[in-house]
Amino acid sequence: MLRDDIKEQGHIVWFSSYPKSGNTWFRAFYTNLIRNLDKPAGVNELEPRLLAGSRNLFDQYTGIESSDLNENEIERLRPRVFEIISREIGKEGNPVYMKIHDAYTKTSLGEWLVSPKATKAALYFIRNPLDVAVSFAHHNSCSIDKMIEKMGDENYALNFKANRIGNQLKQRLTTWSNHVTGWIDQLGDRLHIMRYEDMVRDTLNTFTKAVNFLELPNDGERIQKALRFSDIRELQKQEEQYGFKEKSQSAASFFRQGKSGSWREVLTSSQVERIIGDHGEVMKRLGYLNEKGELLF
Amino acid sequence: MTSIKPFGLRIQSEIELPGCVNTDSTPDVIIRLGGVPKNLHNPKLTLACTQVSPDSFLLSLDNIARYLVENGNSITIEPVAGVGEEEIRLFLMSSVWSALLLQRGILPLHGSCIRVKERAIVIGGYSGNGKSTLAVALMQAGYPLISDELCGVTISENSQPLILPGFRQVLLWKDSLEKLGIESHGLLQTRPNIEKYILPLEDSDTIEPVLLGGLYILSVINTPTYQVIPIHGISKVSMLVDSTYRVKHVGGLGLNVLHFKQCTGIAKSIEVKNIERPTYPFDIPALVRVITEDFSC
Repeated sequence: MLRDDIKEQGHIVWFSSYPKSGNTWFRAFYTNLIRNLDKPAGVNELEPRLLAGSRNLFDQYTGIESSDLNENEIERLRPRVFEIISREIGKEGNPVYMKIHDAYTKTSLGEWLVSPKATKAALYFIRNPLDVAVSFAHHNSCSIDKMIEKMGDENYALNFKANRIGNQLKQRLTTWSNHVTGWIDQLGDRLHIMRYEDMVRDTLNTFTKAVNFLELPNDGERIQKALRFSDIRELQKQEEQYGFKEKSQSAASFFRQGKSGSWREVLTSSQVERIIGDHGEVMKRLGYLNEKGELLF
Repeated sequence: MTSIKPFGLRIQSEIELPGCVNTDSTPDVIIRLGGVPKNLHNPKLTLACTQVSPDSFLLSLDNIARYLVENGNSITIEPVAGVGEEEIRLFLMSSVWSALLLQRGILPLHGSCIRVKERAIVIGGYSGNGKSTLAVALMQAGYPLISDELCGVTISENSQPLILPGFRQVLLWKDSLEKLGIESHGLLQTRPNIEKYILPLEDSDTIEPVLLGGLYILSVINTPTYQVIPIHGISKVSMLVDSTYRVKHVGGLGLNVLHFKQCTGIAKSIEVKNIERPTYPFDIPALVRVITEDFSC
């Protein structure tokens, strides 16, 4: 729920996730829902346009060049940037939607990176880590074993290169488990969990719940149309035709299968064991493993 | 070394600026070390590091310095004890200088500028897209480099946009230096622990203002092809607005109307083009070929 009774809150509604967990699919749905046109929205025009890791956004709202700062200095300023965006863009009281991959961590000054003063609510997308490992390895063009190692690495971050800069800032992901618990344990009922597997198998119901959480127009036909326009086949078709600007430079495509459970065709039993060893506790909590340790997806 | 007047300004400074000798005559700008307040009184704009009001601009960096720019003719710097001059200069010559130019009615564009025959060409685009790298590659190909990072545009008496030659240095990441075949050994780093280096430029034969002929916005896309796309109409104006260095400061300085007039006027007399390059690999010779072929069109 988007509550107004909490002190120290802002206007940003986060679309948050560990990568490859359904965030972009939902953004395609959201874009089509709010535009409500009679043809699918362009895959390169997805809302929200604000991306928390954007270097340009940081530079605009600090007034300086992030490329003149070290990683620690950048991280320490990011909560201020979110607060100013919340204040400036949300000044009419409108929610400010922003996509984020950063983990819910503290800066070196002990402040929350995702500033509570800037935050109104969050949708948190979660996906079976067995499928994330496959999809993320594909995205990064690395081996699955390497990806499993990174998903268990407390220091893992997106876009960190010491000798050059890119369009995005360093974004700390930490481990898959810490990413999940960091977000879902912080915001109470201001956070709504979207499980990828529910998005796939109970699509209408799951997306409608998100629409209600975000207090967007709950119009059945409009929701159905937005779902059709954001169907994986439509996204794949557009990516093939126009390319997708958010694809990593090394991956062959961004929109691959859009399925759940494809890990069964790819992962070896030792890879599955390793992921369960690293993340079993959180997998149980989110319904990916039962009490007996059996896989449910 | 020739005494240059960066951006056409006579300087008297307590901090050394590259290639500049203190003026013997009445200075246009005085740069001194002294006390700087922590806050401006009732600023019109507050960003994470800057506060701006119509006559004053304050940049506060906790571990470097505070900088106060007033009335387009005075910069006061209060450095943090022990901070080296390179670091103080880095921010002085970018955000602080852009505020000074705005206060003086000079439009600061974010980009690098080279001379092609008798015209100046600015290469703009987001940080990280390769503006400076391309500019140095073009310099190596025989096009004189007029300005890096900050390009000052003034309007002549006959309403023509003129580029004012800037500081005689270029900042390049280590990765770019290697790609350009420039040895980083012996070059100063912009800051300790940041792999960005200061490449001093030789004395320029371009010390007078140069007629601005074009703006190329360098962008990065996920397809393997290069494209040069001419921009027309009102989009040219918005490209100039977006290319303004730290454009949010314009509003804080109360210069929105003047700024829009400047951008509209300049748009009428220059060509604006979008130049797209693949994200990966950053093939500098290919990009140089594409842009130089376009110069000769």
